[in-house]
Amino acid sequence: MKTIQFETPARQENAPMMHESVNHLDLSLGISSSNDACNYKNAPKTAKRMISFQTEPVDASPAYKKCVSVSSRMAFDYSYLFSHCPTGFVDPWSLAARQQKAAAEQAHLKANPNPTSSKIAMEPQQAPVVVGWPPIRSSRKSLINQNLTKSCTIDGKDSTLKSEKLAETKDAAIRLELRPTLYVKVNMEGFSVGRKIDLSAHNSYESLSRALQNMFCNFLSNKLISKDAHANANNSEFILLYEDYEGDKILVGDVPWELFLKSVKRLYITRHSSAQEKAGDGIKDSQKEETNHLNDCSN
Amino acid sequence: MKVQSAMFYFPEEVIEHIFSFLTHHPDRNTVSTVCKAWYKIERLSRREVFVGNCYAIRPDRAAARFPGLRSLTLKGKPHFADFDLVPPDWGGLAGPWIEAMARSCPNLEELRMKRMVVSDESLELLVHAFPNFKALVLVSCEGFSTDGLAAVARSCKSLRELDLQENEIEDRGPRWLNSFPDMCTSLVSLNFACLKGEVNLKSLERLVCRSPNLKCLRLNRAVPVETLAKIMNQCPNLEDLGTGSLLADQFSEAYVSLISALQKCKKLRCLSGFWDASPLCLLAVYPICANLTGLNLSYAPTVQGQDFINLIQHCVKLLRLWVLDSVGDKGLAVVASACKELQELRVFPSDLFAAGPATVTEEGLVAISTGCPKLNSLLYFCHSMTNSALITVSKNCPNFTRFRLCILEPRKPDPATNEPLDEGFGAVVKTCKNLRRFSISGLLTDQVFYYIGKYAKALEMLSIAFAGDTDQGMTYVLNGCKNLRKLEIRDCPFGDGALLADVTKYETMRSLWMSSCDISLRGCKALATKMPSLNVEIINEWEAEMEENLNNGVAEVISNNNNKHINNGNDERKVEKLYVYRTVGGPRTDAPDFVWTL
Repeated sequence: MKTIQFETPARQENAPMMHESVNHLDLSLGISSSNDACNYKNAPKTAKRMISFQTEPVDASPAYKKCVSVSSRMAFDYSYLFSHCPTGFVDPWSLAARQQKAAAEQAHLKANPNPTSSKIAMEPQQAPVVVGWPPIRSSRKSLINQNLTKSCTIDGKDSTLKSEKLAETKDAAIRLELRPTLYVKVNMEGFSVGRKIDLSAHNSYESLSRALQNMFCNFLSNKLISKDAHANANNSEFILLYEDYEGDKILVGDVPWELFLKSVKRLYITRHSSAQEKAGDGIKDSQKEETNHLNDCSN
Repeated sequence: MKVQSAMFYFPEEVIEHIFSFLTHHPDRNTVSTVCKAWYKIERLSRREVFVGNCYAIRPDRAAARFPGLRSLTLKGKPHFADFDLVPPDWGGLAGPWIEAMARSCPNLEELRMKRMVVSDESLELLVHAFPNFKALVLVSCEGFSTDGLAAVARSCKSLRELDLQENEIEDRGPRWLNSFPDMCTSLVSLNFACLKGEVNLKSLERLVCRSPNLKCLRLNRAVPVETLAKIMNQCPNLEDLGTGSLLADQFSEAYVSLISALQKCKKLRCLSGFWDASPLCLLAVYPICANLTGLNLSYAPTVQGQDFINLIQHCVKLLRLWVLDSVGDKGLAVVASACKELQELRVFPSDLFAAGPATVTEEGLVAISTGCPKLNSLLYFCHSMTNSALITVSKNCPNFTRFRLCILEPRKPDPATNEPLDEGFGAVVKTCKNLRRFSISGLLTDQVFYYIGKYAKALEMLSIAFAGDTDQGMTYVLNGCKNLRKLEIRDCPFGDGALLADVTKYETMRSLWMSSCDISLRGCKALATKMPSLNVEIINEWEAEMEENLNNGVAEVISNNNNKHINNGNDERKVEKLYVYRTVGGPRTDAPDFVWTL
């Protein structure tokens, strides 16, 4: 029974004891504690359908009715999901949570029937309340959200108003499950089956290295596991490499984190001693591939 | 009398030959109604069929009528399905059509589908049933995966065109590209820009190597600059290119290689893609800009400001331009001064919430209209618009055939005068006699519909949102627009009075969509009773919600007095979504639970 300690809100793929450590997660980002992929697939569609209610539902569930009164003063503050629900912890993507969210948005829209107020800069969430508006395809909408979250991380020195707006936008984008992800393959030397890790869920090399350790500690023998990052770096046989867009294998840790994110394509965990020999093999392999390619094209 | 008997023995082959000069569908439809002989000759010689609404006719009937069919175009879901207003599983299934064609039309070579649901099994059937199959074009479709693409690649002996635009394709791995057999050298057009997953780069390079006829190639974001450079070196005759990711380091070999490759492509006329484009990669494009007729930068938010200006000022022959509003009024002003031949402009939003410093306003549009008088097609997203700007635009560009303006904030008035935008849009319909497609937004009263009904005689498709005051608005349109084919309305205060004002009108149209309006079940039932040749469908999502609750085992019991049977309920209840269309196929047999045909 392992307890997994993490300080950053990273999604852990092999976290059997997720519920124990749920308090450490930043739940306002809407990260589900359930590993059930179906919730994610179904949630956005159903959430949208919920929002498209025209009339007050006559036969709403008791939970729904209760939440309407509670939520009207809690619009867009998602902490209410976890403090007011009678059953205690609520999976953010559960039906009850989605109903509450829809009720909140309906109540908010009723409270502010005129969306053309000058406060639109302060309350940017007015826009996403209307289903299917503006009339652009979802592929373009996701591009807009990706772009906004990127600009969020880059400029943090703007006026508080703009950064608030961007933060709200980022939350909205994350709630809409449109957070940009950067899944890369991780291959461990000697194992034919690899893993995948979301690099955008980390913000530093330390966080990445912890996540990788947790992921691969099943593969390593006991004496190499160490919770102390420094000790691990010093006495581990294993080194972490990454492959960039040009196909070169490079040691992780030289460039700043943001630049690393831009150029990384895959990760490799290899044994320290064989890294030099691997370099030689690599050259031979790529030469072979090139001659194959040339043969194809000259046909 | 001699002449008459000569005409009586006019050989069929001659009539068929004459018909072969008729390519326009309405013309062919008209000649088929002249007499039985002509009907027979026309249907046996028909090679292309266009079905604008897949439920307007039953697939087997269409297939039986045109056994010599070579090319079929099908459209499924209503247009507003693009904006998530139509629930999933609504329909638009391609399967029955492909099966019917497989039974009756063995010569099928081309299939084009828009907003339909295609399964992998259907794709398998498609490539096995039609030995001459050459071209598959799927636009905004869903329901299939890369396995289906693999089946198409593997089994099509002479595939010329595989064009996937804006589809939702389930990614089951990159191996579908390997499925093109080694002897397949017939590819002319390949577009997989909408694929979200990885692509096998080596397979792609080999495929391009052995396709000497390749004219159009659109890659997805997963293809890096290195591969693009290698590909461009292999096909200097490319006419239409969609790049992959254009992220490259200035001093990398790939970047240098790309520059030299692009310079050799003298025939390149159309560029798109530009994912993650760094300004340096744009420099590589400058040498070919002078010949470009089409440029799509709408997926490249990194191309803005001075980078955009530097690029666009070289594109003097540009006919079609798609950009994001981050280019700003300044960027549009440069477009207006450089691209004098411009015919189509689309400006998409890059920020949905507040107008930042670099978005477009009415000034950008006025500048474009002043500089590009040949403009005939416009799609413009902005945060505000004025009447005077619209009046100026319509004076400068009287040739609009498609005019779509979307002001991001619903019901926003003219900020200069605080008035509705009736006069501005009215000016557009008054001066643009050839207007076929119109979308309006902002604060609008019934007056704008009066203008549309009075002046927009050529109008075929009208999209309205958050507009109008009373039923009279919709009535103006139904009475006035003689050529109206598609009318789609959302969030307008039109009720039963408007719906029932002229029920025979709907038989002259392809379809009507009304959502979040003021119509009741009583009105819809009245329409269905009066017009049996129409399918009057109501989409009600309560049914689906309740079923899902039961499936999730949610503890709360949701009482079910919102009727399952539409006849037991209260007729005064408001209908959320209404879709009416003419059909000879009767009510749909594949309608899901939440679609009720009255």
